[in-house]
Amino acid sequence: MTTIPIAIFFISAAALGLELVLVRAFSIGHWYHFSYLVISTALLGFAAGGAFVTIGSRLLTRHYAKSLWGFAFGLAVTVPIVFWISQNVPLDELQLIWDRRQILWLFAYYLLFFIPFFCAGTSVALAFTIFAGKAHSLYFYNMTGSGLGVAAIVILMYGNPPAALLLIISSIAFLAALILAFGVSRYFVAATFLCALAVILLFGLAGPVSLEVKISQNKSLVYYRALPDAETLAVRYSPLARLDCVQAPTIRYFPSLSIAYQGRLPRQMLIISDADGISAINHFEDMNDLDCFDHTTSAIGYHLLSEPDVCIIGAGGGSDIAQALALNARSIAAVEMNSQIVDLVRDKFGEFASGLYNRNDVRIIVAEGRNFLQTTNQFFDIINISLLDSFTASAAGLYALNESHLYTIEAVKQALSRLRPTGLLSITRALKTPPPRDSLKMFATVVESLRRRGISEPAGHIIMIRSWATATIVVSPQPFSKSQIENAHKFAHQRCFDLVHLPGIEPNDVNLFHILEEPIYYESTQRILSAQCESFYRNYIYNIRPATDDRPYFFDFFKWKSLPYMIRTLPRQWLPFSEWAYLVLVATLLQAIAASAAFILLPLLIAKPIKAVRAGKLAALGYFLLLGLSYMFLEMGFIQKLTLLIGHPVFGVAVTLVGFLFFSGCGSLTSGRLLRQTETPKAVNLIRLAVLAIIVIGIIEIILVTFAFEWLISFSRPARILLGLVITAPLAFFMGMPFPTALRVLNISSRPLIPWAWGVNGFASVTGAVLGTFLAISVGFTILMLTALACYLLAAIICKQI
Amino acid sequence: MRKYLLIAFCTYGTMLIEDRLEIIVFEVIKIQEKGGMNANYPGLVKKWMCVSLALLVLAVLFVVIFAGKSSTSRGLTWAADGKQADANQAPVDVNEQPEQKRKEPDDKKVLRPEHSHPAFAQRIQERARMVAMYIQGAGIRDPNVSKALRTVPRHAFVRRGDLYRAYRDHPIPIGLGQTISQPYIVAYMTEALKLDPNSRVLEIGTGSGYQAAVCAEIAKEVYTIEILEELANSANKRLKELGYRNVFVKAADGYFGWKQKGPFDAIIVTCAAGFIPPPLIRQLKPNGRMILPRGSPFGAQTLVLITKDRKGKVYSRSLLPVRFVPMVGQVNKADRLPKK
Repeated sequence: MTTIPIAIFFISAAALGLELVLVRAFSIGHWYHFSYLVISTALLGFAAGGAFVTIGSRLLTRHYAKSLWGFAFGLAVTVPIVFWISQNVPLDELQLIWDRRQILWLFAYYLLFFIPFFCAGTSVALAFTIFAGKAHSLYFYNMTGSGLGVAAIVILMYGNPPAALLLIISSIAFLAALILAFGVSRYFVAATFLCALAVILLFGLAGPVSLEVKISQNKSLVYYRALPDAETLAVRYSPLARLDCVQAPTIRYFPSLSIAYQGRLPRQMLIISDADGISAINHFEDMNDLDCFDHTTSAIGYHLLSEPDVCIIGAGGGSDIAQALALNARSIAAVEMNSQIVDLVRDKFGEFASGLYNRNDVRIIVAEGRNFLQTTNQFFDIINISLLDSFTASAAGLYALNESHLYTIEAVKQALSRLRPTGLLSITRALKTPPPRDSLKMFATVVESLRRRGISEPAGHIIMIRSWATATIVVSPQPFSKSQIENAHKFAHQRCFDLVHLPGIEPNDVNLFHILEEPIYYESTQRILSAQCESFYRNYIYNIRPATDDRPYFFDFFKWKSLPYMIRTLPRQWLPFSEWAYLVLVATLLQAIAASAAFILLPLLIAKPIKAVRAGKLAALGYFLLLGLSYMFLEMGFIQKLTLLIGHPVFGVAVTLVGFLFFSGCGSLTSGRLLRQTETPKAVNLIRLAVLAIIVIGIIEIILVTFAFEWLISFSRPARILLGLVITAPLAFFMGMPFPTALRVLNISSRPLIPWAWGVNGFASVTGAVLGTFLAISVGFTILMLTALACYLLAAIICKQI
Repeated sequence: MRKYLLIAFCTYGTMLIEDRLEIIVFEVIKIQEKGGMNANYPGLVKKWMCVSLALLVLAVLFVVIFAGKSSTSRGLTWAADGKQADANQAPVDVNEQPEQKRKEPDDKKVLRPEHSHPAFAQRIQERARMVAMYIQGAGIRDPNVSKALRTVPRHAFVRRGDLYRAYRDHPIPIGLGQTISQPYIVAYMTEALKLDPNSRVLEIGTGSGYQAAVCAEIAKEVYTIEILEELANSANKRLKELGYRNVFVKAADGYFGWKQKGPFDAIIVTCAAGFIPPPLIRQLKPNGRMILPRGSPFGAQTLVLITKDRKGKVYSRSLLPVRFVPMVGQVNKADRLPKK
């Protein structure tokens, strides 16, 4: 028994690490939608292990040492093999709608990734079944293993490609198998050792079989690499993104350039993140080389103010900095979250970037944009957020549907508060395929922020123009002056940009250069500015109601009402054009529920030991289901809150996960000590006390992170990380008690239910992650967390029936 | 439970077999026609005919024995996506189409495409069906464009493995991450250019050469530039073999256009662009038209028509989302070309 918990520790670390690495690999290789779909389903494999152990418990428990070894060994071997096979599956997501074979390939992905998670889940479920009396101790190892696995993999993601991480995960699993092999025989030890060696030699970085992520042909990187004389000059890995620096003489990336521009363009090099997101580094000899940046919509702010102090959110390769310099900015504070991008532009490609990041008038700050605005004491003339989509928790490997803390009402309000009285906030967005939604939602967000600042007539504070490809919204805390309005008019006309909104705009001023069937942008913005904006939001085909911090889903444009329209345009628009992410979420939830139902019900129907259990099955089902859901809901809620507090998605996610998992493990261990001799009434009391503590602490912490946020954010980042751990610790400590305590109760009353209960809890966790996203989108994170507390309360009520 | 699983299995099996059956249909049509066929094609068809028939027999057996109702539901699905309706359509005769009076070329010595290659005589009815369903049925009104699409053998521009779906209404990969555009988009872009027999066209992004061939059927000369040398060479070879003497292919950076041959009456950019290269605007004649997809290569794209007035001022007009074709009867009014 002594070695088994250690093996469980390593298996849990490997399983959680594998999840994170797969999300990262998918983000690089494929479209985001599918990684979500495939991985959440594959994760069910982890929980399916419980159902499998329930059904085969007699055989598995009889040879438990060999079985445990077998599944740990299976995990170790299948991690690289399954990944290698998956990279050779010819899945082409673009062809999914036309080529039916692609559905088979997608299904193959499901099956492949199910296997390693199934092996991990089976070994943990089997350990709980055999050593149910030591459930608290096992749970401690399980949770701390998961927590430290997450932390280790997130740290290792800096600088290591997924191929190396997969080998590390496989090695961790081999370590678990080796530990378990000592409990079987020395032949097993030798076999495990030899196989580990073979896997490392075969799949190692110098081995004959490569675990490199194959990038789908539907991603930009493939296209740019195929250009004549294209060179990949650098590749960087981090939990935020993989960065590829590609240079070719034919590369030109000027997404908002006026169609009237006839001058020259600077040479460029691209930084491509996760094979798709593009940022350009410009090479220039003098400021005349940057003339093109005066012919983009985002230049308008520089024509309304002279020699401004500028803050650029999302500096990337430096195009916005180059623009500010070319347009006579006095000083520039450029904020970039990804330190690797800063290193590349400042050091490795500093010469190519014409020393942009090393200038005296340019100050580079490595921080998340929203967090910088929250913490800085500086005031600016122009804050520029141009063609930037903030990195999100989903990019860091979590179940989230692209939440963004930069495009909420509160964020815009925050930015406005960092402006000097005559300052400007300039936001540029790419135009989407019609009907418009992205830029209108941004406009609505700006209008709502002004209203919340007490400005009853926001129309006088906003200017919006559009080119054929982008729209720029400029907003000022003070009404625009007559000369500024004239300048804006002149700027737009000279560059063939269309006016969308300007104080005092007339209908015949719009839709002149980039002609639409109807002046839909102008008409929509006028409706948003009017008193009837509510009915406009309600009746518009897409969801363009402004996002808030509690529901930070700026990119969620889906409305059930628009489903018939989407279905009608499906063959024409398919995934890249439509707002299908929400429906993918629905599909994922349905899949998860269907698979969960099957795996939960199957043992009930066919496993004889379970059939023999007369009472308590329904209560156990409800109890473990509620525990799984509530744990996941609280975890998700705190990830959102702490990410905002800590100001970096990677740190936010890591602190929350490590905190929750580690302290839950500690809670489990403590409850085991408290409950030396298992008596059901005592156990029930302990569960109820723990739940009471969770509810009280939960409510206090929700109030704390919601209402004392401004105070908490004033601390330095290390202090905020520490604060994050302090916030999670007491809650997670008590959250670690109900699960193992109930397993101890089951060990006395209905022992055959233990692996099944483990499976139920696992399924609830997976389904809870998807359902939690739904709730967060629909009702916000605060309600999600309160729902979790209600689930805990319900679980405490029914725990006596187990 | 078993029954429903079988229904699901059979339905999916039938869907897969449907692809193969189409090859058999092509073969039957081919036998009816007198044109030649390249040496490898019969072997390929024969192989797939055997596989398909065997699978079909299996599927039918399952359906008949275990789930008789599945075939009914499948039939309804077909009806829903319009294919059953198509089966009842009378075959379209190319010669019966109303022919717009063609403007004669000013230069009598112009090079015209030769149509002597065997590919032109193959799969004529499929092209006619494609034009009737996906081109004219979706709102393309220019008879010259329809005629061009009925003439150009699209199957000569796709890879061997994709021959069976050469006349379907979707893009097909041609390698190196590129695709041959779906027929509707080709027709739509060509119509938007308002070509006549005197037009000189510049195309950026040759790809397989299909779009250039379609333009060459209408215009006087087509100059096409492909940045990927491998694609440029294969497209050039293909177009020459097919007899397109008025198409000129160059492997180069399309950004600079083809200054020596310009200015052009029309410019067509078939690769997505984030901005319009200034040299292309300069090489467009006054009153000229340029069409291009706006957006990133793999993101959302919208077709945009650029026009240049007599004074040289340029205007843009958003047309429709591209890459994916509308189904028959589903083209919105807003998606059709503006009359202006």
